[in-house]
Amino acid sequence: MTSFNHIRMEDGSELSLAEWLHQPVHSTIEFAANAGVNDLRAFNYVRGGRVSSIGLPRRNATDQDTNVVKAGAMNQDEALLCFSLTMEVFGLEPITFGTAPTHTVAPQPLLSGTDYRRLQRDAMLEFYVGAAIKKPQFDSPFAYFGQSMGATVISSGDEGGTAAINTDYGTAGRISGSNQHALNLPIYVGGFGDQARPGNSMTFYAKFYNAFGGVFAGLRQGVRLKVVADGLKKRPA
Amino acid sequence: MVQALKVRLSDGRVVNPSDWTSAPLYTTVEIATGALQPLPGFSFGVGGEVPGSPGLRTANHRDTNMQGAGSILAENEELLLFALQIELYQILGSANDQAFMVSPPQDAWAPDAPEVSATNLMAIQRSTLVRLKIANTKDYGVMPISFHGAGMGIHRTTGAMRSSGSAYARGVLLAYNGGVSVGDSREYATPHHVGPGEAFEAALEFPYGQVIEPLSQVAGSTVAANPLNFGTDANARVRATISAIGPRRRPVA
Repeated sequence: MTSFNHIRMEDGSELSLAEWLHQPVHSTIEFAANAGVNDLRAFNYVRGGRVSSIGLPRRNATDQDTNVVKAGAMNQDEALLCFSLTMEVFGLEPITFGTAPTHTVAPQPLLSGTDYRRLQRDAMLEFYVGAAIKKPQFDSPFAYFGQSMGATVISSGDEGGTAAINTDYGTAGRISGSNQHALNLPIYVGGFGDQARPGNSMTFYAKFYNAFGGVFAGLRQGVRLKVVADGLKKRPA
Repeated sequence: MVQALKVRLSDGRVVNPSDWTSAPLYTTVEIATGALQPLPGFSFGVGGEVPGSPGLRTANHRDTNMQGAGSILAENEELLLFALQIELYQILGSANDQAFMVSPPQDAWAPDAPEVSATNLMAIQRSTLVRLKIANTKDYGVMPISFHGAGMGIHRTTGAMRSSGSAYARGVLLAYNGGVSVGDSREYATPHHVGPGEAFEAALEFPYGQVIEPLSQVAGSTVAANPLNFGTDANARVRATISAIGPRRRPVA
């Protein structure tokens, strides 16, 4: 620990030094279209570690993939008051219309709206806090979560030509900072009980899976999903 | 310093004459295809060099309203930062707007500039990080560019729209960094404070080394690289205007 967290005064009282800023934590998971997604976890690696993935080449994480500094836990001099969960999604390869290679439906890195809907149909996203805790602190069908980060896309459509635009693109709601459910009860990721002080280490992770088991039926594109736990983060002063 | 920043009254009280405005502080950087270094926003004033631009062009008032340079807020200014809003424009480097359509590598659905094609825009979102620095001691935010939606753009209705760049032969697929309306951008739950003379920078960084699909960099991977695609227009750029939203104190001249 390189920062001052507590100062004990002469009268025995304690001052806690910290700053709380709006600083979400994010973590990327990715899976191939033909991969069975049964337990894919976010927030369980740090920069330089392996990005959580299934059915894809393993790659090392960068700051673009995650900004957590401890794998699977909040660092001891940090805490998070999570007031919302949201995400950003990308398609990992292009898809075309039927067998016609020139009829572009969802060029990489756009994710097809139909494929996105298939994830909403089948997938669950759960948020766990605490070591070996089996009860999710928050769990819901993936369809519940509004997507506040991404691109607003406009397509002209095109009746023909050498690169016909048969666009099928969609997002989970309007791309807006307001398009994410505010948790009625914010989730605290930090110390509890005797250690209920901001700044104690606490295990946490998010879990994404297909509730029907195995492959997402009909999915045509590999998917990159960036899970964002939005909230106030306590950092060392 | 030519302004009166403090007035001490006869009874000892100190008055700071100032002028608070809600006009945003803004800056510009430009994103090229190929290898990229971090592009520091708010690092230059009018007459400075726009980071990432071809030949480092001289900044004008559309590029920035920063006073001074060196990623430092002027000594006589102060900022409460409620949001960063980042909007993107396609800039051509060639007088021939059909250079985008030279195949290969063509961006087949590219709209006419300054709109950005959906694939280029989402490729930037996939690969670009915004690092907010205040006072140079630590980062005040490290988030993907899409976290800082533009909240600006054109609310469009299109028919069978086509592009001049394709000689009106093809339709277009364009995109914005988030929604285009006021309220679509994201406000910080806790605003940041940038004091007079403090270091202040919002840098675009590219952790994959460029705008590229990271899986393509893994040995043996068959996933396409999908970089920024400007056709044969090597000097094209995607221009990012970064606006710092919030009350800003200016000197009373």
